[in-house]
Amino acid sequence: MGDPLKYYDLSYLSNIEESLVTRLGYKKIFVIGKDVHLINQPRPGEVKTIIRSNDPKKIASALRNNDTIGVLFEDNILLKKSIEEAGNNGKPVFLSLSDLMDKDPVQTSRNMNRIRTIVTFARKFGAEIAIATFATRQAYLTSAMQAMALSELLGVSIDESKKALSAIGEYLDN
Amino acid sequence: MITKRKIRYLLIEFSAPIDVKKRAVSEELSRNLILFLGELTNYRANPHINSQIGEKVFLLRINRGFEREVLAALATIKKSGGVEGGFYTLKISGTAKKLIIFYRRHILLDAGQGSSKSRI
Repeated sequence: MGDPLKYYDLSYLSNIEESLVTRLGYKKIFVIGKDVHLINQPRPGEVKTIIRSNDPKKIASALRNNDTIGVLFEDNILLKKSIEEAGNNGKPVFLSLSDLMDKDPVQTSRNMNRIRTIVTFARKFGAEIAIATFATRQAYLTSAMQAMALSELLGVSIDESKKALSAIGEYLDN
Repeated sequence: MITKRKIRYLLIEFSAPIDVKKRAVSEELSRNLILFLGELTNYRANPHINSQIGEKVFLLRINRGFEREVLAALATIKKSGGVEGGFYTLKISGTAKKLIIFYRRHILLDAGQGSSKSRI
C-alpha cells in the first residue's frame, strides 16, 4: 500500500478496526473528541485543539495559544488574514475532505473552489496545509491514496499532499 | 501498427458486502463515476469492472493516466445498491495478478479469512 504507516487521518469515529486503518494506508486515525478537540471558540486549559470558525478574532486568539494545533475554516470561507496569522505562528490550515463528498454536486463543486482558494493563499503566506477527512460516518473515510488524489484536484502537489497527510502525526503521535 | 493498451487495475474495497456482477450495481457505479468525471473524462478513463475477488473487494480496470480522477471520483461515491458505504482504493497496479496476490497475502490474512470464499 505505497508508503505505508506514515499518514494520519482525523475522524469522529472511535470504533474503526485496526486492520481497516492499515488497509487504508494510515498509521493511525485520530478520534475527534478523544485525541484532539475541535472547538468553535478558544477555551483556556483545553489541550490539543483545532479551532473551527469563520470569525477572524476567535481564530487569531486561538492561534496565539500553544495548545492550538491548527485552524479549520467553517464553511471553507476564505479569511486571508487568518491564513497569514497561521503562517506566522507556524500552525497548519486544515482542509476537510468530507466537504468534497456532499450529496449535492453543486455544493461539492462550490466547496472544491473555496478550498482551492484557501490552498492558493496558504501557499502565498507560507502556511502549512494539513489534510484530513473529518469523517462522521465510515462511508466518509478515504484511503490515503484517495486523499492524495482529492488534494491534487485542490491544487496541492503530490509532495505537498504527502506532507499534509503526515502533518497531524507531528502534533499528536508522540 | 498495433499499439498496446496501457491500463491500470485498482483494488477497491466497499465498506459493505457488494456484488458487482449484478448489472444494477455496476450500472449505478458507472452513473456515479460519470456524474463526477463527466462523459468525456469517463470515456477517456474507460473504467470497467474487471472481477470480484472478495465479498467486499473487486478490481476496476482503467486507462493509464486517469488514476487521480477515478480515485477522487470513487471517494465521492457514498452509496451502492441502496446501501450506504465508501469505496476505498487500496492499491493500484499494472496487472490484475499482482493485486490478487496482494489481496490474498495481506487483506485475507489480516482479516483472518484465510479459508474464506475467494471467488477466483
